[in-house]
Amino acid sequence: MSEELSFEIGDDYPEFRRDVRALCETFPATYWRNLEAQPPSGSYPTDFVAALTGAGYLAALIPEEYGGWGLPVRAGAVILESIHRSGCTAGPCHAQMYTMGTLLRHGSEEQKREFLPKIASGELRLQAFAVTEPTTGSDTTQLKTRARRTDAGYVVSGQKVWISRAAHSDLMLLLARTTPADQVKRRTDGVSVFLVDMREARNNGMEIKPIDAMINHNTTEIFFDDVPLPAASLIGSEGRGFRYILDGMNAERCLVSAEAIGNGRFFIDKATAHVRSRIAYGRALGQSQAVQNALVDAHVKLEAADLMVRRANAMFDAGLPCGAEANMGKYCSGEAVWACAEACFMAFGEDALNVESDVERKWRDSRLSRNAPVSPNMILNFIGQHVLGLPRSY
Amino acid sequence: MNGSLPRMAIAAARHADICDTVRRICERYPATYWRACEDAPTACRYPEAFIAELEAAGIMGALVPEAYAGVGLPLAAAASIATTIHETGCNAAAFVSQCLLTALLVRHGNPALKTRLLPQLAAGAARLQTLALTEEGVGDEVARMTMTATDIDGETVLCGRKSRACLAASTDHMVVLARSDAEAGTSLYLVEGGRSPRQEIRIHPLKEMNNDGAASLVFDRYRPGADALIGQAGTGEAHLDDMIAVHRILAAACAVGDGRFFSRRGVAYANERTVFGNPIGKYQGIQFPLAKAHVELESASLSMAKAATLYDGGVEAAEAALVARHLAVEAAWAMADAAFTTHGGFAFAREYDIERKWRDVRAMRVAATPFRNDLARIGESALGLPRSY
Repeated sequence: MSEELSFEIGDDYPEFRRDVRALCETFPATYWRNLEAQPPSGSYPTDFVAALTGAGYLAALIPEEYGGWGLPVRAGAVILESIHRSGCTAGPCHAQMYTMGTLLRHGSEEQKREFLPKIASGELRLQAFAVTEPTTGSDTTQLKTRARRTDAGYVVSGQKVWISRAAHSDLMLLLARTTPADQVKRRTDGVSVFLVDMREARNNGMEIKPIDAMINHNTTEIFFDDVPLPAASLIGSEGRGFRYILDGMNAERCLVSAEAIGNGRFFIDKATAHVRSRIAYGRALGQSQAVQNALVDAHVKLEAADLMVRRANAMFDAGLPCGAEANMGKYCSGEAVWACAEACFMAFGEDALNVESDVERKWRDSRLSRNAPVSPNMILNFIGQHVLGLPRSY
Repeated sequence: MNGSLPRMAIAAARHADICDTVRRICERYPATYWRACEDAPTACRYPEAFIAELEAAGIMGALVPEAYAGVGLPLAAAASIATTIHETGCNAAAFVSQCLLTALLVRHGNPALKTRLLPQLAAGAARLQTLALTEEGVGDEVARMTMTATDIDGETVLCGRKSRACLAASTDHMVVLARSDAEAGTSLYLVEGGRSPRQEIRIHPLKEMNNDGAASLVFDRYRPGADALIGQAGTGEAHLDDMIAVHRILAAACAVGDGRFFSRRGVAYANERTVFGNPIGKYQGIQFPLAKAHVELESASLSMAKAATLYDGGVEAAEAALVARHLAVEAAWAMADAAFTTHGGFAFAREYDIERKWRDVRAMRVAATPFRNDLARIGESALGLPRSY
């Protein structure tokens, strides 16, 4: 690790924190509650995503030459943290920040010129990232979706699951096997990344089914029945897709961790306000140690996680290897936000169950921080094996 | 061996017959039924068909004494029924609430009220499933409650609001705690419920995370009638507190059932799902949280059986019941979360039915009324520590 590398410890990017909050205030809790009550086709926060896009935030990480702001990942993290702290959620659009990176780092100049400016302007949405499959889960190299070469390009068959926002995205990054697993030397070889034009694919054998889930994450299953893709949709070299996806995953972990930090702040803000004003048995609820200590414990965990996330962000932005740090930041922020969510839930008591308290909705949302985009068990496996040098345990 | 000490069975197998009946009914109400209830319009979320079957089988009148045409089952049997219902993935909230209020009525109701109502409960012809206690901004802190029972020309008149009464729109009768004007104390009244709406009681369903039928109530000069007072005037809080063992034992029973539901589902999925060449249950990261929760659940189950045994033996059981509920709810939560983690992303998919029950267990952890937090009571009464709130 570079000894000169440092990061700010206060409210970095204060203008983003202020302006994002102001934007978010125009999308109050009623907006999000109302979306949850809609059927899948109407549950996407179209106006919110349009407002973020219009203000330029979703293009913050796209280089200026392609129409964005050319800012580091840390700036994106602050934007996402601020969105979540305000009570809004960036889940419906955050993928644009990190999936774009795969295109940026590994796409051809032609692909970048064609797509990045349109993504930056909001003309096209790149919100979907199709990796996971029903039977392979975290074991990514075992994926079964096949892309076979044809004269015109490729034909894709297979199935993906937990593909969020697919029904609301114009473009999707797809990971598919181009060489059968038994014909490659390493498990990580033979898979490729494609940039799929969703409108074309939907007319040619791709079917998207919404998944009825506990949270409004617009998530879907996707079925590919011999869907043709043009040769030009391949990103980078055929067979090297796993590596391309991996470096995007560190960016994703840095950004999603910042959302967890934002949610944690939301819970602490909300709970402390509540327990200061709610009187029980002759004193403020917050004077009870059971309530106060749980909130303090959660706050301490959140402060520590914030530092871990900032360190990972700084290392990513400095171009240093940061797999361990991004994973640890993800783990700490997931556990910390859950402690905050639980402490807030407890502080509200039965009132937490009421939809209008917004506690239950954010609490449900936050459970995802302990599942996605990587399972905490997989993070522990990674740290155990690659940081502590223990034998592989799975 | 000292023959005078109470004894308990090592497993709650004594009520096998009735539990088999309950289990057969539950099997006809699979997860799709409960999800459909959740998705129905607010007014139609009560598990009507399920409860009707329990009524027809005489289950809903479990605690009505034989003297009132009931079967007079011990509390341990009611607890086994609740556990069975939750173990299968069904929900016993209406059953448990009716048992608690039946026990209250049996112990403190006046003869006229008992004669009028208990045979109906035994026959499954009436529902007594709502306790209207908490008030807005006050919760279950009785001293600050403002709902009043005023004597006007010799008739009791109820006025005020209750913030969160479960199943109010689906029950025929409820029990309401109100402040009587004669004394500083509170009294319990039997009140006509919301299944047949009336002008003097307005019911506003609350939108909540769980399908618990919670509603806020507004009483506008409701006259409950001459025999509606339960127990003594002015001592309503004490009468409710007197039922603490029943409340906590039945809550523990539901939690034990939930724990077993999650144990079964978590273990089945861990054995069936293969990733990295093994069933995921082979990995200690998955297996040990399930095993730890199992140990906690076993101890909770024994604690619950102990409290029920004491209660049915006529021994003071409040303290044992508080311990049992705390252990059971925490063990159920540990198992629920372990099963949730085991299912990975699929836990979020409603189709798997993990998330619904997981939300239910979480709700159970905040709903400790009546009265007050279990730990605060255990600290004070069992450990002799100063009152902490």
